[in-house]
Amino acid sequence: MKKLFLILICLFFLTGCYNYKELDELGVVSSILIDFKDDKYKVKLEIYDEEEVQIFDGEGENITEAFKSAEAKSDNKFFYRHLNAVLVTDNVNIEHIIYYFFRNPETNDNFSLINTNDEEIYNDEEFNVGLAIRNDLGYGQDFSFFSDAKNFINKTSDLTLPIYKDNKLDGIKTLSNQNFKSEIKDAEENVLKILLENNNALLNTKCGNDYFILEINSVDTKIKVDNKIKIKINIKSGIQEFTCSEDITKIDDLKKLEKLASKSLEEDAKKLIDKLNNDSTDILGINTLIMNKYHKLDKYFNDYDYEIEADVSIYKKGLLLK
Amino acid sequence: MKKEFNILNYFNTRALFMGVGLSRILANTNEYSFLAIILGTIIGLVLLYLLRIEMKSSFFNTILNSVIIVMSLVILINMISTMYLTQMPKFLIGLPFTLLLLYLLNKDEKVLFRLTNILLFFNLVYYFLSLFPLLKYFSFSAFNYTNTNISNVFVSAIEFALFSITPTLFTRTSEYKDVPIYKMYIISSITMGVIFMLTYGILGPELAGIVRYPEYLILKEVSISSAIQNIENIVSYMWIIDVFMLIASCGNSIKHNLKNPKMINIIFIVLLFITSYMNQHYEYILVIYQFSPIILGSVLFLVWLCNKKLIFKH
Repeated sequence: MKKLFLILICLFFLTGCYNYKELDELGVVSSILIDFKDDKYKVKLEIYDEEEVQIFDGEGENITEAFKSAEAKSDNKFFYRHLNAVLVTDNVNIEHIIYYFFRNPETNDNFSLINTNDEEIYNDEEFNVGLAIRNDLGYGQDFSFFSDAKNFINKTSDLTLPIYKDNKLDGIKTLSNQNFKSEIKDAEENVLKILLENNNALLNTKCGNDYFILEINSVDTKIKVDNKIKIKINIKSGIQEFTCSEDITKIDDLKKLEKLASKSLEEDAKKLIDKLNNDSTDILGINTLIMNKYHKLDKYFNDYDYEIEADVSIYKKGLLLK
Repeated sequence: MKKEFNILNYFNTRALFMGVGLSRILANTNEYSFLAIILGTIIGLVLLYLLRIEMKSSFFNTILNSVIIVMSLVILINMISTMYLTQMPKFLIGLPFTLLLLYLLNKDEKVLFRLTNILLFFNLVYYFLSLFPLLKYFSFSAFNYTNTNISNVFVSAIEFALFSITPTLFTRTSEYKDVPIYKMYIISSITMGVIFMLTYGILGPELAGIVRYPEYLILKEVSISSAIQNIENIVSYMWIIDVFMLIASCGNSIKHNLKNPKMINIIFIVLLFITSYMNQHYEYILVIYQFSPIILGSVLFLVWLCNKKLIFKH
């Protein structure tokens, strides 16, 4: 009798989740565009439904209200667990965005926070913007919301956000004290990725009128605070493209190329760091290192001189000997 | 049964850290949290060695164990309500737990011990399933200088000892009071220490201090290649198992001291209502968070005052 009673009770309580929704009642959000204009948040949500995407827009005096107004236009409940990207314009207060998504248990933490100033990014209903960004950036830690939010809240370093422009990722935007600063593109972007120990970078080096491109396989960047900031970069790379006249079957020529690449990287990194220092952007978290060493911040990261040493080693040449 | 009793203490030592102990200690000690854990484990071992609490009054035993049950149930239900079942009323979250606990407690004690064995296996599976994928996110750079007062380390070490030994001391019945539990206590503290370090190494100082349930948050990062992601709700079962076993263990201790063991049913239903009432008011959760070491310390002191039977072993 007792068992029967328990089974009957279970029938009532084990029927499924309280807030259960069928899959076709959910609107799976792939990406979100957030702008702030005329004292109002304006949002656009990209919902994917099999092969098509639908866009719902909303606005409100706060982020919650803007999302609610967008959801009200849909028959479905929005589901944020498969969110791929949140795109924010320069007008948005990045702190509000980070705390909003961090507080919300209904989102995943591995979407990417992206900067864009294009108003019409959702112009092709067969193109899933969120998924394209996810495929481009991959699933790693680099540029994930979790690592961005962690750096932002811990104040260990200033943020960098990938830029979305003309339907593709194009460069990186730096921030300093929550304000968007400069855009870093092309060669500078590759150097920045190397400094941030991101393997997804290419190194383009001139050899006279020709050039060679190295694909980075592993990068190890060590930063030491002394009377100068000493940055030591160790790279293992493979040749991706080669148009130079050097004979890379000869050890001397290979060493020469490695030296050329190292020197070029040192110069480019110096230029980039000068630019970041002028913007007061501490992307490398050097203030934290200074604090760790001296337990006070008498001098900030941009008050120091920098010494950069790069050691590029080529350990793959692809299928060709030459 | 000695082995099973020891396994039960594995859960008891860890359970109160969820939602309260872990975030408090990390927020107060920052980069020195490892020192607090080591010191806390030593203090805990000394207290376990010295104190032999023997509950004589069934009334006080019920009250004191109930305090721990309510504390853990409030935190567990609140965690489930925050993380998994955001729309579900908290009472309905607590109800299946209570029914399951009552079913368990109405059985013979050996059922509890058998369950302990089974759940230890699952707990360890979840533990290692989350541990290895999380190691890649661990960074020593999170252990930055934060100007933490060293006195916080000593206070937190005492808190660590209180969180880890109080349930063990209360659930040690006269039958098992001589069981040497030190080995299991050390193993349990090491597994907790690893979670502490992982949490701090992944989240860093500020974030570990402001986030609710940091031990759950890091589980969000558990992924096995890009194919298996968002499995935090599964691996976080290890916390639910810990707390469930602690509540079952306290319930068992109450049942042992009652003249009529069936009274446990009424006691648990009353506790469910108290928990549900407290869960409706967030200030009680804040009180538990802020004053839990004082509550646990007072509970231990009360035991001494009521029983006056603290036996110091030489």
